[in-house]
Amino acid sequence: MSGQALLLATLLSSALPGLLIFLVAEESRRLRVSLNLLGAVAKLVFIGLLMLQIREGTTPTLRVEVWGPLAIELHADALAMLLATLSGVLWLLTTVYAIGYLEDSLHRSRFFGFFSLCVTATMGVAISGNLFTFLLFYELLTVVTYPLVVHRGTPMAIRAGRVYLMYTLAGGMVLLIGVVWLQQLLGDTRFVTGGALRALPDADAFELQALFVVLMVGVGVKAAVVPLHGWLPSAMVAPAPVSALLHAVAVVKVGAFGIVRIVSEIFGFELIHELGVGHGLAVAASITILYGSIRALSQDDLKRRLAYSTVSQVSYIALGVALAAPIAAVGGIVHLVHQGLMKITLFLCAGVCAEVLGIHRVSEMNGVGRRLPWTLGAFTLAALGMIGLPPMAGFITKWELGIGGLEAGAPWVLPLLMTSTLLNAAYFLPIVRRAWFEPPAEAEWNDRRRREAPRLLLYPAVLTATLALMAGLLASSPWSPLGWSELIAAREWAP
Amino acid sequence: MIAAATWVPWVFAALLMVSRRTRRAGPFMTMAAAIPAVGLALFARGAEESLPWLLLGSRLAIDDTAAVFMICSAIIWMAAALYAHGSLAGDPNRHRFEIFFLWTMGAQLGLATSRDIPTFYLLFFVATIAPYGLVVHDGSARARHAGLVYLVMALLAEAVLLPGLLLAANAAGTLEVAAVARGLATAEHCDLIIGLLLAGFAVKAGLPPLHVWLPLAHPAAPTPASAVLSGVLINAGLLGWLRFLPLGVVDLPVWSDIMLVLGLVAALLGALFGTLQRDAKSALAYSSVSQMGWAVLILALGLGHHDQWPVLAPMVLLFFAHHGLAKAALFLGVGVVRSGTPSRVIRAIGLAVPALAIAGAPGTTGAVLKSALKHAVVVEPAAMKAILEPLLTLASWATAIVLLRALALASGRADADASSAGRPPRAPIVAWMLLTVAVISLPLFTPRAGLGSTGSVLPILLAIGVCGVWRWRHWRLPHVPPGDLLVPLTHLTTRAASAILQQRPAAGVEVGTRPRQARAWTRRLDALERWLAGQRAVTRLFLGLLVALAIAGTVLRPAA
Repeated sequence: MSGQALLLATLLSSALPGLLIFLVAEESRRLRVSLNLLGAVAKLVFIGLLMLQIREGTTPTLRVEVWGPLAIELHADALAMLLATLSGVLWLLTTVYAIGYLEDSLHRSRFFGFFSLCVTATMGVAISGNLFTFLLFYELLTVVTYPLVVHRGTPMAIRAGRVYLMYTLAGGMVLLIGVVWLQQLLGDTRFVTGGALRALPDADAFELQALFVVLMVGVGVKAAVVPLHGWLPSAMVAPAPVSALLHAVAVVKVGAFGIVRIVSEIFGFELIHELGVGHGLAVAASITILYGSIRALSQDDLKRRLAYSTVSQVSYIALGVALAAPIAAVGGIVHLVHQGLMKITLFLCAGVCAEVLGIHRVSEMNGVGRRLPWTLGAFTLAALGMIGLPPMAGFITKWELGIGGLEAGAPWVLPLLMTSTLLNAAYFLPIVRRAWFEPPAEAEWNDRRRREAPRLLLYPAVLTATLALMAGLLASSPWSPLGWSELIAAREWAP
Repeated sequence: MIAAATWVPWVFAALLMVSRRTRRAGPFMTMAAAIPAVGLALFARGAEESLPWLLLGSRLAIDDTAAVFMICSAIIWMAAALYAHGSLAGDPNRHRFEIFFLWTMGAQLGLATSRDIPTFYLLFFVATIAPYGLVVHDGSARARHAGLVYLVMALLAEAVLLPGLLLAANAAGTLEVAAVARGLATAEHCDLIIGLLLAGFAVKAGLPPLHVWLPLAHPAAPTPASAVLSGVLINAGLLGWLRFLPLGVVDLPVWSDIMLVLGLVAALLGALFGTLQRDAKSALAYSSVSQMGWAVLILALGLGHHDQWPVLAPMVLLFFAHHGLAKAALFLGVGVVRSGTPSRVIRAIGLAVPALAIAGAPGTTGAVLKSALKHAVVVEPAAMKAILEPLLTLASWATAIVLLRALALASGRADADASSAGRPPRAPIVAWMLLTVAVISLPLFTPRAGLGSTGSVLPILLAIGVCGVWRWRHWRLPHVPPGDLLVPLTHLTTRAASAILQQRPAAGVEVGTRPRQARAWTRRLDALERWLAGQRAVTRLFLGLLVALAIAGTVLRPAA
C-alpha cells in the first residue's frame, strides 16, 4: 500500500467503525464488539506498515489545499509514529477493557462511537503535517471527548464536563489566535525539521516570544500545565476506561505532543535558545512537576491522586523539550510513551478495584493485594515505574532526562528529578504498602477460592504493565520507545 | 551464562509468586538458588558477558572481587535458607518470606558481577527494596516501624546516589563502571560526585550518621533475615564504594581523612551504643555498624595512598568473608538460643568462636585484618598516626565489649526462657554450626600474614575483666533506644510530614500535633484548586492573558 493510502487508512480505521457504531442497536453487542476490534486491529496493522516505511527513511505526506494558503496536510514522520503507535496499541487494550467494564450499562453505542472518534482525533493530531491541521484535530478531540467525560450523566459528571469544555475551548481559542498569527507571519504553518520560523530572517524577537507564549498556553491547557490544569482532576469522574485513555493517550498527551511539535518544528532548538523562551517553559514545567506531586500527596480518592500524578508526570515531557538539547528531548518524548503505558495501567487497575470491590479510596485498600494479586501486581509495577525505579520504563526517562540536563548545561534538573522521585514515592508507596502488607479490610479476601477480576478487565492491565516493564528492561532494542526516540533525535535534532 | 546463573533466584521467586503449586518446593528453592552463583565464581572466574539488549546495554564480568563476594555471600544465603526452613516451618506467610528472600538474593549475588551503571543500579535498588519485605515479615508494630524507617532512608539514599551516578557517567562519557571510577579523579565535579556516592552507599553500609535504620531493621527481621541483612547486604554498600571510588588510581587526601574520621566514629560509637542495648540482636546490629567502621578505615587508607591499595584491596575482600560469616553465625546463634536450649557445648562454640573472630583473637581472620590495618596506618603522617593508633586500640577494646554484651544478653534470655522452651528444631542448629565451621576454617583460604598476631589479646582480656567486674558489682548500664539519633529525628519529621500530608502518616509512627499554620496552607491550596475548577477561573485566566498580551504588545513593542 502506498504511504498516502496508509495515512488515510490509519485515520479511517477508527473513524469508520466509530460512525457505524452510532447506528448499531444497543442490544447487538456482538456486532459492536466486532466493529471495534476489527478497527483497532486494522489500525495496528496500518501503523506497523507505516513504521516499516518510515524506518526506511521515507516520509509519507498527503496535502489537500483547502482555501488560499490554508491546507490540510498529513505526514507521518518518526515523531508522529511515537504518538500514533501508543494510541493504536492502547486503544485496542482499552477497548477490550471497556467492553468488559461497560458490559451492562446504558448508552453503549454512544460511548463506543465517541471512543473511536476520540482515537481518530488523537491519530490525526499525531500525523498532522502543519499547525492548522493540528488545530482541527485538536478541536475535534475536545468535542468528541466531552460526551465521554459526562457519560455517567450524574450532576458531578455534568459539572466536570462543563469545566472541561470551558478550559479546552478557551485553550483552543488561544491556539487559534496563535495559528492565525503564525499564518500571517509565515504564510504557512508547516512543521519543518529544525524550525519553520528559522526561514524568517528579520523577525522581531519580542513578537516571536509573544507568539511562543500564546501557542504554549493554547496547548498547555490540554497538557495540564499549572495553572491551566483545573479541568483535569475533576474530569476523573469519567468511567475508568475513559480516564485511562484521557490520561495516557488522548487529551493530555495531545497537549504534550503539541508542545514537542511547536518547540522543535515551529521554533526549532536554535531559535528557542536565541529567544530564551526555553527557560520559561522549563520553569513552568518544573513548577507543574512539583505542584502536581504535592497535591497528589493529600488525595485520598485513588483516581484523583492518579490525576494529580498525571499533571506532574506529563510535564516531564515539556521539561525535556524545553531544555532544547538532543538527549534531554529524547528523555522528554520517550516519556510520552512511558508515561502512557504506566498511567494507563494505574487507571485500569483503579477501575478494577472500583468495579470488582467498590473501592474508590486509598484508605480502603488495605490488603487488596490478597484479593486481586494480579491487578495489584500490575499496579505495583506501574507505580514503581512512575517513581522512576529500575528496571521500569520510568527509570529510562529519568536517566535520559538527567544525562540530558547535564548535557544541556542545566544541572538543576538533577535535584528537581530527585525531589519528584521522592514525592512520587511518598504518594505511591503507601498504596502499595497498604495493598500488600496490611491485613485485609474484609476477612473473605483471604479466601483462596475467590476469583481475580474478570479476564476482560484483568488482561489489558497486566499487558500494559508488562509493556511498561519491557520498555525499561529492553530499552536498548531499536524497536523500544527509547530506540525509536533516538531515531527521531537522529533525524530531527542531529547536531 | 553469568546472567542466567545469577538470576536463578529471581526465576524461583517469580515461580513462587505465580504458581501456588510450587510453594511446597519453596524451602528447597531458597536453599538451592545460590548454588549456580557459587559454581560460576569457582569455575568461570574471568568470564565476561555482554547483553546489549538489556537496559541501556548490560555488561557482566566475574573478577576476583565478584568471586569472593559471591562465594561468601552464597554460603550465608544457604545457611540462612536452611535456618528458615526450620524456623518458619509453621508460618502461614512463609512463601512471602521466601519470595522476598529470593529477590534479595538474586540482586545481591548479581550485584558483584555487574559492570555498567544501569545494571549495577538496578540490582542495588532491588537489593534495597526487597529486604523491606523481610524486615516487616512478622507484621508487629516494631517491625513495621523499622520497615518504614528503612524504606524512607533507602529511598533518600537512592535519591542521592542516582545524581552521583548520573554526574559520574556524564563526566566519564561512558556507562562502564571501571572507566567511570578511573575518570572520577579528573572529573569536573569530582568532589561533589564523591560526596554523593559516599552518602548514597553509606545508608546501605550503615555509616554514621546514616546508620540509624540498621539497629532497628536488622533485629526486627526474622533471624535468618537478620543474618543476611547484617552478614551480606551490608556489604553491598561497601562494594559500591569499592567499585566507584578511584581507589588505587589517585590520592584524595581530604576524602581519605573524612572517611577515616567517619570510620573511627562508626567503630567507636557503634560499639558504645551497642553496649547500651537491652536486646542481643540490637547489640549485634550495632556491632555491625562498628565493624563497617573498620572496613571504611581500610578504604580510607587506600583512598589516601594509592600505592598502598594493592596491599589493602585483598583486605577488603577478606573483610567481606570474615565479617559476613561471623556476624551471620552470631545472629543465627542468638536466634537458636532464643528458641530453645541447645547443649552447652554447641552454645559455647557457636557463639564464642565467631565473637572471638570478630574481636580479632589470634588464629582468626580478625587478627589478620587488624594487623594489616595497623601496618597500613604507618603510611599516615605522624600527627594522624599519633591520633589513630590509640583510637584503634580503643576500638578493639570496644569491639570486644559490645560482643560480650551481646552474648551476655543472649544467654541471659536463654536462662529465663529455658523452662518453657524445649529443644530447638534441628535445621537451625545445623545452619548455625555450618557457619561456625566456615568461620574457623576461613584462614585456610585467605592471606595469613598476621594470623598469629596477639595485638588483640590484651583488649579482649581487658574487656572480659571489665565485664566480670561489672557483673560482680551489679552495676546497671544506661539504655539508648535502638536507632539512637532517630528518636528525636522521627519526632521532627512526622510533624513536618503530617503538616504536608494532612493525614495520618503510616502506622507505627506516633503522630505529632499538626501545626495550625500548615493546615491553613493546605486549606488555601484546596481553595485555589476549587477556584481553578470553577467557571470564573477560566474566563479570568484567559481574559487576563489576552489583556496582558495586548498591553505588552502596545507598551513594549516600540521599545523593542
